Amino acid sequence: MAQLSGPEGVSQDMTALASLERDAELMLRVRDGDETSFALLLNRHRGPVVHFLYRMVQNPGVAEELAQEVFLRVYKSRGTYEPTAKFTTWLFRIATHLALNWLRDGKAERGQESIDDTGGEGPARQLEDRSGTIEQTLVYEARLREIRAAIEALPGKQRAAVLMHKYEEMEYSQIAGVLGCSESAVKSLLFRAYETLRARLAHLV
Amino acid sequence: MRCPIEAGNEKTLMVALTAGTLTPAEQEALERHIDECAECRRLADEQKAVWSALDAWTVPTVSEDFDRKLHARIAVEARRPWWKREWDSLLHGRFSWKPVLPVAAACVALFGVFLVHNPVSLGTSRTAPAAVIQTQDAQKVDVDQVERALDDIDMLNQLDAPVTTPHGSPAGS
Repeated sequence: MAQLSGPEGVSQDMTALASLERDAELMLRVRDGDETSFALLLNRHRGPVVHFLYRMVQNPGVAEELAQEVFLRVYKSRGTYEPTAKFTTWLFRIATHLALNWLRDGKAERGQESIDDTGGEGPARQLEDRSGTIEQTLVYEARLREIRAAIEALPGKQRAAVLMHKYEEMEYSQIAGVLGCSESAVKSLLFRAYETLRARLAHLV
Repeated sequence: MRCPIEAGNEKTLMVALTAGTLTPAEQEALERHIDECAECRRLADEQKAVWSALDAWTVPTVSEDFDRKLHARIAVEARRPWWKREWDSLLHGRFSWKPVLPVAAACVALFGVFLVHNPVSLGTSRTAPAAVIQTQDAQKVDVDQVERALDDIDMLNQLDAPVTTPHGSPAGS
Protein backbone atom coordinates (compact mmCIF):
# COMPACT_ATOMS: atom_id res chain seq x y z
CA MET A 1 0.00 0.00 0.00
CA ALA A 2 1.08 3.64 -0.56
CA GLN A 3 3.36 4.99 2.08
CA LEU A 4 3.09 8.55 3.30
CA SER A 5 5.54 10.36 5.49
CA GLY A 6 4.75 12.17 8.70
CA PRO A 7 1.85 11.76 11.09
CA GLU A 8 -0.64 11.23 8.27
CA GLY A 9 1.31 8.28 6.96
CA VAL A 10 1.76 6.75 10.41
CA SER A 11 -1.96 7.18 11.10
CA GLN A 12 -2.86 5.50 7.82
CA ASP A 13 -0.51 2.57 8.54
CA MET A 14 -1.97 2.13 12.01
CA THR A 15 -5.50 2.19 10.64
CA ALA A 16 -4.57 -0.42 8.06
CA LEU A 17 -2.90 -2.59 10.69
CA ALA A 18 -5.91 -2.29 12.96
CA SER A 19 -8.11 -3.29 10.04
CA LEU A 20 -6.04 -6.39 9.33
CA GLU A 21 -6.09 -7.45 12.96
CA ARG A 22 -9.77 -6.80 13.04
CA ASP A 23 -10.26 -9.13 10.05
CA ALA A 24 -8.51 -11.98 11.85
CA GLU A 25 -10.43 -11.24 15.04
CA LEU A 26 -13.74 -11.24 13.15
CA MET A 27 -12.92 -14.51 11.43
CA LEU A 28 -12.08 -16.12 14.77
CA ARG A 29 -15.51 -15.04 15.98
CA VAL A 30 -17.05 -16.60 12.86
CA ARG A 31 -15.19 -19.78 13.79
CA ASP A 32 -16.89 -19.60 17.16
CA GLY A 33 -20.30 -19.28 15.52
CA ASP A 34 -20.80 -15.51 15.33
CA GLU A 35 -22.80 -14.87 12.14
CA THR A 36 -22.71 -11.10 12.62
CA SER A 37 -18.94 -11.11 12.28
CA PHE A 38 -19.26 -12.96 8.97
CA ALA A 39 -21.65 -10.27 7.76
CA LEU A 40 -19.12 -7.59 8.76
CA LEU A 41 -16.34 -9.34 6.86
CA LEU A 42 -18.60 -9.76 3.85
CA ASN A 43 -19.53 -6.09 3.93
CA ARG A 44 -15.88 -5.05 4.07
CA HIS A 45 -14.48 -7.34 1.40
CA ARG A 46 -17.39 -7.97 -0.97
CA GLY A 47 -16.57 -5.04 -3.24
CA PRO A 48 -12.81 -5.59 -3.56
CA VAL A 49 -13.25 -9.32 -4.25
CA VAL A 50 -15.98 -8.80 -6.86
CA HIS A 51 -14.03 -6.02 -8.55
CA PHE A 52 -10.82 -8.07 -8.60
CA LEU A 53 -12.66 -11.03 -10.11
CA TYR A 54 -14.42 -8.80 -12.62
CA ARG A 55 -11.10 -7.49 -13.90
CA MET A 56 -9.72 -11.04 -13.96
CA VAL A 57 -12.54 -12.71 -15.89
CA GLN A 58 -14.10 -9.57 -17.48
CA ASN A 59 -17.64 -10.84 -17.08
CA PRO A 60 -19.83 -9.29 -14.36
CA GLY A 61 -22.08 -12.33 -13.91
CA VAL A 62 -19.21 -14.78 -13.65
CA ALA A 63 -17.32 -12.44 -11.34
CA GLU A 64 -20.22 -12.38 -8.87
CA GLU A 65 -20.67 -16.15 -9.02
CA LEU A 66 -17.00 -16.69 -8.34
CA ALA A 67 -17.08 -14.12 -5.55
CA GLN A 68 -19.97 -15.95 -3.92
CA GLU A 69 -17.94 -19.15 -4.17
CA VAL A 70 -15.04 -17.36 -2.45
CA PHE A 71 -17.17 -16.33 0.52
CA LEU A 72 -18.91 -19.70 0.60
CA ARG A 73 -15.51 -21.38 0.93
CA VAL A 74 -14.50 -18.92 3.63
CA TYR A 75 -17.69 -19.77 5.50
CA LYS A 76 -17.24 -23.53 5.02
CA SER A 77 -13.67 -23.31 6.32
CA ARG A 78 -14.62 -21.33 9.41
CA GLY A 79 -14.32 -24.36 11.70
CA THR A 80 -10.62 -24.84 10.95
CA TYR A 81 -9.57 -21.21 10.49
CA GLU A 82 -6.22 -20.25 11.96
CA PRO A 83 -4.80 -16.72 11.49
CA THR A 84 -1.48 -17.94 10.08
CA ALA A 85 -1.57 -15.33 7.31
CA LYS A 86 -3.41 -12.08 6.70
CA PHE A 87 -7.10 -12.62 6.12
CA THR A 88 -6.94 -10.74 2.80
CA THR A 89 -4.06 -12.95 1.65
CA TRP A 90 -6.20 -16.02 2.27
CA LEU A 91 -9.25 -14.38 0.69
CA PHE A 92 -7.44 -13.34 -2.48
CA ARG A 93 -5.67 -16.66 -2.69
CA ILE A 94 -9.07 -18.37 -2.96
CA ALA A 95 -10.29 -15.74 -5.43
CA THR A 96 -7.18 -16.01 -7.61
CA HIS A 97 -7.34 -19.80 -7.58
CA LEU A 98 -10.98 -19.77 -8.71
CA ALA A 99 -10.33 -17.14 -11.38
CA LEU A 100 -7.31 -18.95 -12.80
CA ASN A 101 -9.28 -22.22 -12.87
CA TRP A 102 -12.12 -20.50 -14.70
CA LEU A 103 -9.73 -18.98 -17.24
CA ARG A 104 -7.91 -22.29 -17.68
CA ASP A 105 -11.12 -24.19 -18.26
CA GLY A 106 -11.66 -22.05 -21.35
CA LYS A 107 -14.90 -20.58 -20.16
CA ALA A 108 -13.51 -17.25 -21.18
CA GLU A 109 -14.26 -18.24 -24.76
CA ARG A 110 -17.95 -18.47 -24.00
CA GLY A 111 -17.87 -15.11 -22.31
CA GLN A 112 -15.89 -13.46 -25.09
CA GLU A 113 -18.98 -11.72 -26.42
CA SER A 114 -19.17 -9.76 -23.19
CA ILE A 115 -15.80 -8.11 -23.75
CA ASP A 116 -17.42 -5.26 -25.67
CA ASP A 117 -20.39 -5.06 -23.38
CA THR A 118 -20.03 -1.82 -21.51
CA GLY A 119 -23.47 -2.08 -19.94
CA GLY A 120 -23.38 -1.70 -16.19
CA GLU A 121 -19.95 -0.11 -16.22
CA GLY A 122 -21.27 2.99 -14.57
CA PRO A 123 -24.09 5.52 -14.46
CA ALA A 124 -25.42 6.72 -17.80
CA ARG A 125 -23.92 9.98 -18.89
CA GLN A 126 -26.20 12.96 -18.93
CA LEU A 127 -25.93 14.57 -22.35
CA GLU A 128 -25.78 18.31 -22.07
CA ASP A 129 -23.78 19.17 -25.16
CA ARG A 130 -24.59 16.30 -27.49
CA SER A 131 -21.66 16.48 -29.90
CA GLY A 132 -18.84 16.98 -27.36
CA THR A 133 -20.14 14.42 -24.87
CA ILE A 134 -20.77 11.77 -27.55
CA GLU A 135 -17.20 12.18 -28.76
CA GLN A 136 -15.91 11.95 -25.23
CA THR A 137 -17.99 8.82 -24.66
CA LEU A 138 -16.69 7.21 -27.83
CA VAL A 139 -13.11 8.04 -26.90
CA TYR A 140 -13.67 6.73 -23.40
CA GLU A 141 -15.18 3.48 -24.64
CA ALA A 142 -12.42 2.94 -27.19
CA ARG A 143 -9.82 3.55 -24.49
CA LEU A 144 -11.60 1.15 -22.15
CA ARG A 145 -11.65 -1.57 -24.82
CA GLU A 146 -7.90 -1.20 -25.28
CA ILE A 147 -7.26 -1.42 -21.56
CA ARG A 148 -9.43 -4.49 -21.15
CA ALA A 149 -7.84 -6.17 -24.15
CA ALA A 150 -4.34 -5.40 -22.85
CA ILE A 151 -5.15 -6.90 -19.44
CA GLU A 152 -6.86 -9.90 -21.02
CA ALA A 153 -3.76 -10.57 -23.11
CA LEU A 154 -1.65 -11.03 -19.97
CA PRO A 155 -1.08 -14.59 -18.71
CA GLY A 156 -3.18 -15.47 -15.66
CA LYS A 157 -0.62 -14.95 -12.91
CA GLN A 158 0.74 -11.74 -14.43
CA ARG A 159 -2.81 -10.46 -14.69
CA ALA A 160 -3.55 -11.33 -11.06
CA ALA A 161 -0.28 -9.74 -9.88
CA VAL A 162 -0.95 -6.48 -11.72
CA LEU A 163 -4.54 -6.25 -10.49
CA MET A 164 -3.55 -6.89 -6.88
CA HIS A 165 -0.64 -4.45 -7.10
CA LYS A 166 -2.57 -1.68 -8.86
CA TYR A 167 -6.10 -1.88 -7.45
CA GLU A 168 -5.62 -3.57 -4.06
CA GLU A 169 -2.30 -1.76 -3.44
CA MET A 170 -0.80 -4.98 -2.12
CA GLU A 171 2.90 -5.13 -1.37
CA TYR A 172 5.11 -7.63 -3.14
CA SER A 173 5.27 -9.87 -0.07
CA GLN A 174 1.50 -10.17 0.17
CA ILE A 175 1.11 -10.83 -3.56
CA ALA A 176 3.73 -13.56 -3.13
CA GLY A 177 1.62 -15.04 -0.35
CA VAL A 178 -1.46 -15.02 -2.57
CA LEU A 179 0.28 -16.58 -5.56
CA GLY A 180 2.35 -18.99 -3.52
CA CYS A 181 5.67 -17.86 -4.93
CA SER A 182 8.72 -15.86 -3.87
CA GLU A 183 8.87 -12.08 -3.73
CA SER A 184 11.46 -12.05 -6.52
CA ALA A 185 9.10 -14.13 -8.67
CA VAL A 186 6.35 -11.58 -8.03
CA LYS A 187 8.63 -8.73 -9.09
CA SER A 188 9.50 -10.64 -12.23
CA LEU A 189 5.81 -11.22 -12.99
CA LEU A 190 4.92 -7.58 -12.35
CA PHE A 191 7.75 -6.03 -14.31
CA ARG A 192 7.09 -8.27 -17.28
CA ALA A 193 3.39 -7.42 -17.12
CA TYR A 194 4.00 -3.67 -16.89
CA GLU A 195 6.46 -3.87 -19.76
CA THR A 196 3.76 -5.49 -21.89
CA LEU A 197 1.20 -2.93 -20.80
CA ARG A 198 3.58 -0.06 -21.55
CA ALA A 199 3.98 -1.35 -25.08
CA ARG A 200 0.20 -1.53 -25.55
CA LEU A 201 -1.08 1.43 -23.59
CA ALA A 202 1.63 4.09 -23.61
CA HIS A 203 -0.02 5.81 -26.59
CA LEU A 204 -3.15 6.41 -24.51
CA VAL A 205 -1.56 9.44 -22.83
CA MET B 1 21.58 9.77 -8.25
CA ARG B 2 22.94 7.09 -10.54
CA CYS B 3 20.86 6.50 -13.64
CA PRO B 4 18.41 3.65 -12.85
CA ILE B 5 18.83 2.23 -16.36
CA GLU B 6 22.59 2.00 -15.85
CA ALA B 7 22.05 0.57 -12.38
CA GLY B 8 19.58 -1.98 -13.73
CA ASN B 9 16.80 -1.08 -11.31
CA GLU B 10 14.76 1.19 -13.56
CA LYS B 11 11.76 -1.17 -13.54
CA THR B 12 11.61 -1.27 -9.75
CA LEU B 13 11.92 2.49 -9.40
CA MET B 14 9.50 3.48 -12.17
CA VAL B 15 6.81 1.13 -10.88
CA ALA B 16 7.37 2.39 -7.34
CA LEU B 17 7.24 6.00 -8.58
CA THR B 18 3.81 5.55 -10.17
CA ALA B 19 2.55 3.41 -7.29
CA GLY B 20 3.62 6.10 -4.82
CA THR B 21 5.68 3.75 -2.68
CA LEU B 22 8.99 5.67 -2.79
CA THR B 23 10.10 7.63 0.21
CA PRO B 24 9.97 11.41 -0.29
CA ALA B 25 13.78 11.55 -0.58
CA GLU B 26 13.85 8.77 -3.18
CA GLN B 27 11.03 10.38 -5.15
CA GLU B 28 12.73 13.75 -5.18
CA ALA B 29 16.05 12.24 -6.30
CA LEU B 30 14.40 10.22 -9.05
CA GLU B 31 12.35 13.13 -10.36
CA ARG B 32 15.47 15.28 -10.45
CA HIS B 33 17.23 12.60 -12.47
CA ILE B 34 14.25 12.18 -14.80
CA ASP B 35 14.44 15.88 -15.63
CA GLU B 36 17.96 15.30 -16.90
CA CYS B 37 17.75 11.84 -18.48
CA ALA B 38 15.69 11.43 -21.66
CA GLU B 39 15.56 7.64 -21.49
CA CYS B 40 14.38 7.56 -17.90
CA ARG B 41 11.88 10.32 -18.66
CA ARG B 42 10.44 8.28 -21.52
CA LEU B 43 10.17 5.20 -19.29
CA ALA B 44 8.56 7.18 -16.50
CA ASP B 45 6.05 8.76 -18.91
CA GLU B 46 5.09 5.35 -20.31
CA GLN B 47 4.62 3.88 -16.84
CA LYS B 48 2.52 6.89 -15.80
CA ALA B 49 0.40 6.45 -18.94
CA VAL B 50 -0.23 2.81 -18.01
CA TRP B 51 -1.14 3.81 -14.47
CA SER B 52 -3.47 6.52 -15.70
CA ALA B 53 -5.12 4.14 -18.18
CA LEU B 54 -5.68 1.54 -15.46
CA ASP B 55 -7.15 4.27 -13.24
CA ALA B 56 -9.76 4.90 -15.92
CA TRP B 57 -11.00 1.30 -15.82
CA THR B 58 -14.16 1.53 -13.77
CA VAL B 59 -16.05 -1.55 -12.66
CA PRO B 60 -19.78 -2.24 -12.33
CA THR B 61 -21.35 -2.01 -8.89
CA VAL B 62 -22.06 -5.23 -7.05
CA SER B 63 -25.63 -6.40 -7.64
CA GLU B 64 -28.12 -5.81 -4.87
CA ASP B 65 -29.02 -9.47 -4.48
CA PHE B 66 -25.41 -10.64 -4.06
CA ASP B 67 -25.80 -11.26 -0.33
CA ARG B 68 -29.17 -12.93 -0.74
CA LYS B 69 -27.76 -15.38 -3.29
CA LEU B 70 -24.74 -16.07 -1.13
CA HIS B 71 -26.87 -16.85 1.92
CA ALA B 72 -29.07 -19.10 -0.22
CA ARG B 73 -25.99 -21.05 -1.24
CA ILE B 74 -24.87 -21.25 2.38
CA ALA B 75 -28.29 -22.61 3.34
CA VAL B 76 -28.12 -25.24 0.59
CA GLU B 77 -24.65 -26.20 1.79
CA ALA B 78 -25.88 -26.56 5.38
CA ARG B 79 -28.60 -29.00 4.26
CA ARG B 80 -26.12 -31.35 2.54
CA PRO B 81 -25.22 -34.60 4.35
CA TRP B 82 -22.13 -34.26 6.53
CA TRP B 83 -20.19 -36.84 4.55
CA LYS B 84 -20.71 -34.90 1.30
CA ARG B 85 -19.44 -31.75 2.96
CA GLU B 86 -16.38 -33.60 4.23
CA TRP B 87 -15.73 -35.08 0.80
CA ASP B 88 -15.92 -31.63 -0.84
CA SER B 89 -13.65 -30.28 1.83
CA LEU B 90 -11.20 -33.05 1.05
CA LEU B 91 -11.38 -32.33 -2.68
CA HIS B 92 -11.17 -28.57 -2.54
CA GLY B 93 -9.86 -27.61 0.85
CA ARG B 94 -7.52 -29.45 3.16
CA PHE B 95 -5.99 -31.85 0.68
CA SER B 96 -4.12 -30.98 -2.44
CA TRP B 97 -4.39 -33.40 -5.30
CA LYS B 98 -1.41 -31.92 -7.08
CA PRO B 99 1.12 -34.56 -6.00
CA VAL B 100 -1.21 -37.52 -6.63
CA LEU B 101 -0.70 -37.90 -10.38
CA PRO B 102 3.09 -37.74 -10.32
CA VAL B 103 3.17 -40.19 -7.39
CA ALA B 104 0.80 -42.54 -9.22
CA ALA B 105 2.92 -42.31 -12.36
CA ALA B 106 6.04 -43.07 -10.32
CA CYS B 107 4.34 -46.12 -8.77
CA VAL B 108 3.33 -47.42 -12.20
CA ALA B 109 6.87 -46.92 -13.47
CA LEU B 110 8.35 -48.75 -10.46
CA PHE B 111 5.88 -51.61 -10.92
CA GLY B 112 6.86 -51.82 -14.58
CA VAL B 113 10.55 -52.03 -13.67
CA PHE B 114 9.71 -54.73 -11.12
CA LEU B 115 7.86 -56.78 -13.76
CA VAL B 116 10.75 -56.53 -16.21
CA HIS B 117 13.21 -57.88 -13.65
CA ASN B 118 10.78 -60.40 -12.17
CA PRO B 119 8.63 -61.72 -15.01
CA VAL B 120 5.52 -63.60 -13.96
CA SER B 121 3.83 -66.47 -15.82
CA LEU B 122 0.30 -65.77 -16.83
CA GLY B 123 -0.69 -69.37 -15.90
CA THR B 124 -3.03 -70.21 -18.82
CA SER B 125 -4.74 -73.64 -18.69
CA ARG B 126 -4.14 -74.48 -22.35
CA THR B 127 -0.70 -74.36 -23.88
CA ALA B 128 -0.45 -73.78 -27.60
CA PRO B 129 1.81 -76.15 -29.55
CA ALA B 130 4.44 -73.49 -29.93
CA ALA B 131 4.09 -72.24 -26.37
CA VAL B 132 7.22 -71.11 -24.60
CA ILE B 133 7.79 -72.26 -21.05
CA GLN B 134 9.70 -69.80 -18.90
CA THR B 135 11.73 -71.15 -16.03
CA GLN B 136 13.00 -69.13 -13.10
CA ASP B 137 16.45 -69.33 -14.66
CA ALA B 138 14.98 -67.61 -17.74
CA GLN B 139 15.75 -70.70 -19.86
CA LYS B 140 13.28 -71.06 -22.63
CA VAL B 141 12.46 -74.67 -23.56
CA ASP B 142 10.68 -75.43 -26.73
CA VAL B 143 7.96 -78.04 -26.10
CA ASP B 144 8.29 -79.43 -29.62
CA GLN B 145 11.95 -79.91 -29.06
CA VAL B 146 11.23 -81.84 -25.88
CA GLU B 147 8.77 -84.11 -27.65
CA ARG B 148 11.22 -84.78 -30.47
CA ALA B 149 13.91 -85.64 -27.95
CA LEU B 150 11.60 -88.06 -26.19
CA ASP B 151 10.70 -89.67 -29.51
CA ASP B 152 14.40 -90.02 -30.34
CA ILE B 153 15.09 -91.65 -27.01
CA ASP B 154 12.21 -94.02 -27.56
CA MET B 155 13.51 -94.93 -30.99
CA LEU B 156 17.02 -95.50 -29.67
CA ASN B 157 15.64 -97.73 -26.96
CA GLN B 158 13.84 -99.74 -29.58
CA LEU B 159 17.05 -100.02 -31.64
CA ASP B 160 19.03 -101.27 -28.67
CA ALA B 161 16.52 -103.91 -27.74
CA PRO B 162 17.42 -107.42 -28.97
CA VAL B 163 15.55 -108.48 -32.05
CA THR B 164 13.43 -111.60 -31.54
CA THR B 165 11.79 -113.85 -34.09
CA PRO B 166 8.13 -114.41 -34.05
CA HIS B 167 8.93 -117.64 -32.16
CA GLY B 168 10.83 -115.71 -29.47
CA SER B 169 14.35 -116.94 -30.34
CA PRO B 170 17.06 -114.37 -31.06
CA ALA B 171 17.42 -113.44 -34.68
CA GLY B 172 20.39 -114.86 -36.57
CA SER B 173 20.74 -117.84 -34.47
